[in-house]
Amino acid sequence: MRIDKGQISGTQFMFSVACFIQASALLATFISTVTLQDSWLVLLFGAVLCLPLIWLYRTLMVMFPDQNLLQILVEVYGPVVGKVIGVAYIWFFFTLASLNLTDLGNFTKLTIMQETPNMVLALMCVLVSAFAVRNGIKLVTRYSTLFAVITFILLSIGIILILNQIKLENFLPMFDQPFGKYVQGIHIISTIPFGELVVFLMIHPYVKLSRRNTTKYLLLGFGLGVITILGVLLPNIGVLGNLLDIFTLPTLVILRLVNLGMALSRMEIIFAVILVMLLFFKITLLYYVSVLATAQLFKVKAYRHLALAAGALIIAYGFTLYPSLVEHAASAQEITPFLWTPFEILIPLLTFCIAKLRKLPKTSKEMAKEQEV
Amino acid sequence: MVLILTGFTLIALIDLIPLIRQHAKSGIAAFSIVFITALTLAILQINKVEVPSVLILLGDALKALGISY
Repeated sequence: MRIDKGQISGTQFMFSVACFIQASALLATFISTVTLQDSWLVLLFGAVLCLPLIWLYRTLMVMFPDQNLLQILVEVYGPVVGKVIGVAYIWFFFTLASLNLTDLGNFTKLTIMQETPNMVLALMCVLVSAFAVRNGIKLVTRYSTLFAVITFILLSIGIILILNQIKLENFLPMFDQPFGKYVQGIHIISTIPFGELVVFLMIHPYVKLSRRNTTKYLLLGFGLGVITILGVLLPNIGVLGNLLDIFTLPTLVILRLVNLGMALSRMEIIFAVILVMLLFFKITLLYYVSVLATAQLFKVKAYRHLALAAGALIIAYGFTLYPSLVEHAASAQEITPFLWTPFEILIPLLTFCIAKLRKLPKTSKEMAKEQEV
Repeated sequence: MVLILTGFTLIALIDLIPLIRQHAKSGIAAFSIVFITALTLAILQINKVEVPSVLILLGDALKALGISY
């Protein structure tokens, strides 16, 4: 059953992947407080180790070009087990949307609108997102290219202006942390920004892509996202050095140091605006995927009628998740990588293995043969 | 409380009525589950009832099993 009639181009898909990872630049502090000056190495190792995972998602997309993740689960595991796992995925999508909405609220409150209550910020974001979600995938991803390009330009300007404050000795000593810290850092980076790309298994049927282009656009989007996070992490380490782990938002701190006379100062507000924009995109995509997955589970064709209720749930659920930013960060470093591993790595891998063993997806000829027998 | 109830009433008016008109049973079921869960959570929070965090509970369970950093 095809719920949304819209289709997007490969380029839009690529920039959506890039934007989705770029939005996690805020979460880069999750690894920088664990692996300090070696965080950029952890990011690179994590990205390389995630390539097989991205290939796994790509393979599932190519194997089941017209089916989203919930449909794939039903086909591979059967209707009962498939739907049970599908419910777990719906919880996962709602939780991701709520967590990102909470992050957006906290970040905006900390940086731009100190006096505005979190509820108002969340409500404003969800109302705008709901408009996009009700109009389908085309509107959800329409501005991904613009967002990604703006991010690249502004981040590059920021890096150029901060170059004179970067001290190369801040990157030393390298490989000085205990081995376990590197494993933890790589696990965090693999599950929190990169593994979350599993949500694209819900929208790939709406992308006009050939087998070859799927690989190209998915990997290019992933690469652009990794470069952006690297572009955020490297200046943070180069400027702050040992002080990196004492700031909640190190990028804002380093951009505050940019001062070219009276003309150019307080650059951090630009980064704050970029992050709000990217987080808004990520929330909209997760919100859309949550609504789509719920509609898929209940076989509802008019998915747009679930959008507002789902938005209300995302807001209300978000306020129950973590009582404070500190607990959120601690959990993201110690627990969340383990919680997300089944959804992002184990189940897709198991699904792929079972699909291969069962020689799925079956062609219409094979299905007709089975019915005759 | 009044604002919350007004908001949820508006959501029901906008989305539930078209579903009822279309006789979309599965749609009504899906809408009701999402809507009632959201309404319950919102009312509990407005009344300052502490709703246990699913993620913290799962985290504690994993920690008890020795699965954490």
